[in-house]
Amino acid sequence: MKRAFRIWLVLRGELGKVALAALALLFCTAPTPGDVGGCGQRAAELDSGTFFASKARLDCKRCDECMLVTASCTNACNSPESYPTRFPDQCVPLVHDGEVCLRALLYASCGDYAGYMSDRSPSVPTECDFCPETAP
Amino acid sequence: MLVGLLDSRPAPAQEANRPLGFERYRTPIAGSEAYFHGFASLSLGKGLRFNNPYRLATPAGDTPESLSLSAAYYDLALGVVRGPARGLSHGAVLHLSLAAQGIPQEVLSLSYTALTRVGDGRTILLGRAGIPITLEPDLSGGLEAGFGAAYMISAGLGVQSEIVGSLYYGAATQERSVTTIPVLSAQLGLFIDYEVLP
Repeated sequence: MKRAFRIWLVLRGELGKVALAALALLFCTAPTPGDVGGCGQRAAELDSGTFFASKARLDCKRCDECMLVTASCTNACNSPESYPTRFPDQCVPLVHDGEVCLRALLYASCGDYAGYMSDRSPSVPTECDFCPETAP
Repeated sequence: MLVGLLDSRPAPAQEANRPLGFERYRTPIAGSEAYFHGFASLSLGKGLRFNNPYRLATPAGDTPESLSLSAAYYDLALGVVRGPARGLSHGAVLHLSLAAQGIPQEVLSLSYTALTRVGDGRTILLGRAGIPITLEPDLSGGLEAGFGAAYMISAGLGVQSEIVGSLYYGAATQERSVTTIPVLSAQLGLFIDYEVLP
């Protein structure tokens, strides 16, 4: 009995230290910085035609992969010309903005993509929200 | 200086009073002969970005300058140091970090490292400073410094945690020709210790 108690005390001490380290991790929330772009990549304006054509192709491909059946998916595959042809006024995204958006879409989960291609209330990944509206 | 403070050793009189086997986790090498010491670690980490001009997931605020959480990542490290059994050892460590979620990301970093054992020898303190190279999605680089500790469960296996501060260079924006992305990250994992005794 005494021995079991001693073992429990030792384990409690060890677990306490491991738990402390885990807490440190939780509260100090990468050497992987994200899609920040290559050093030396210059600021060049994104061509809207090229971007929206690429996005329509990607939307169609991901709808197919994720087996999504929505009007937005049908539109992406059958009527890519219905996608916008220019960005909103005062919105001038850069080439890297487009790269970040397309890569985010390419590797998004099917669950997330279902939200992007929803017919009711489609969501937009933050990476593709080039010119977010600022609060007044 | 910090290492010097932490690595305080007991006076000879105190050592004499300690029970036999007290320092069972410290390598019993007399003198200060230097020898090679290898180590490896496998960790899982998460980072906090302090600049996010491209609105990368997951933003924690409304502005590009606000904080954002980076993707979780796996980190594999392999290092070697040379030094005495008691005291500071110096060497190099290679880290490979791979994103565990989101887009594929690979970062390779080579750092100068120093480590020392403290207390009864079970705890190892490590510090490093080096250059991370982002291999994927775009080639880039930066600067990095980390501080960590490993707690040895057995002679060769322990748990470790490390806090890493990095500064990456990124693509230009309308306002800046080169963006700098500071990242503070923390990782927790396993530590493997391998000593090649002289």
